[in-house]
Amino acid sequence: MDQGYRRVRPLDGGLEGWIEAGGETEEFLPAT
Amino acid sequence: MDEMTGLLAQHGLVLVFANVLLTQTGVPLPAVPLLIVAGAFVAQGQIALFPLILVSVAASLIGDALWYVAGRLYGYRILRTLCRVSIEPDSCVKQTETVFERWGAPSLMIAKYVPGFSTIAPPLAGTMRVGFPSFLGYSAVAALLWAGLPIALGAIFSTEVERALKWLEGMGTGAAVVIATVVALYVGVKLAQRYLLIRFLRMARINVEELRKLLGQVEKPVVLDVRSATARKLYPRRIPGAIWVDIVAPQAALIAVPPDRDVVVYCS
Repeated sequence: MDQGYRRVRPLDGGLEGWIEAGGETEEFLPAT
Repeated sequence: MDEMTGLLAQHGLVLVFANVLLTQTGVPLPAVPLLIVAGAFVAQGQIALFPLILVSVAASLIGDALWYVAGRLYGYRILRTLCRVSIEPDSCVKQTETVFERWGAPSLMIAKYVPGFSTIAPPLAGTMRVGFPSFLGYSAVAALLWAGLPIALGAIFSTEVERALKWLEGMGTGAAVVIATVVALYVGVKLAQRYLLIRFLRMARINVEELRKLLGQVEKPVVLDVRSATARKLYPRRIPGAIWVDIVAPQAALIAVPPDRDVVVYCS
C-alpha cells in the first residue's frame, strides 16, 4: 500500500478520537 | 516445595478459579500450566474432575461476561482500550470484527485459541449486541474446550507431570524462585512486546490536530475509512471527504487515490 505514495499514516484514536476532539463528520453516502 | 504440592492438592480448585479469572479478565498470566497440573491431580485422585471443570468454566464465564457487559455499555471505546493494551489497536479491532462478521456468535467458541481474539471477542459480542443467552452458551462451550484440553493433557501425562513436580520438590525453596522467575519473565516479555509495538505505532501515526491542519491546506491528504461494514452500520458517519475502503477487496477504492498524495487511514 505504501508503494508509490508519499506517506501512509493511521489516524491516532481513529474516528472516535476524531469525534472526541470535536472533529466534524458527515453522513456516509454508500455511493462513495 | 512439598508445601506447594500440598497447597495445590488442598486448595487446587480455589487456585484454578483465581488463575483462570485473572487470565480471562486480561491479566497477562499463564493459566494453562496450572490446569495441566490440576489435570494430573485429577488422575491421581487428589482433585475431583467435575468440580475442577465447573470452577474453570465458571471463572472463564465470569471474566468473559464482565467484558461482554463492558462492551454493551461502552461500545468501541472499550475495544480500543483493550486493543491498545493487548496488541495493535486498529488491526486488532478490525481482525476481530472480520472474524465476527464471517462466523457470527459461534466464533466465540474458537476465540480462546486465537491470539488477540480471545480478549477482544467477549466485549465485541457485547458491542455487536449478541444476545446474552447466546453469548453465554457459546462462551461456555469455549471455556469447556479451552480448559478441558490442558486438564485432559495433565491427566494423560500425569506421570510426567508428577516427575516434573518431584524434580521441583527436589530443588526445595529454589523451585519457588524458578517458578517466580519463569512467570516474571513471561509477564516481562509480554509487557516489553506491547511497549515496543505501541511506541513504534505512535511514531508512525498522525494525531487529530495534525490531520486537521493538513485538511485545511490546499494539498489535502486522501483520507481512507477502513472500518468494517459492521462498524459503518453502527455509526454511518465519516470524516468529511473520506473514501470508504472495503478491506477485503480494497483495489477498487485504491485506484481512485492519486499516487502523489499523502494518505491517512482510520478505523473505528
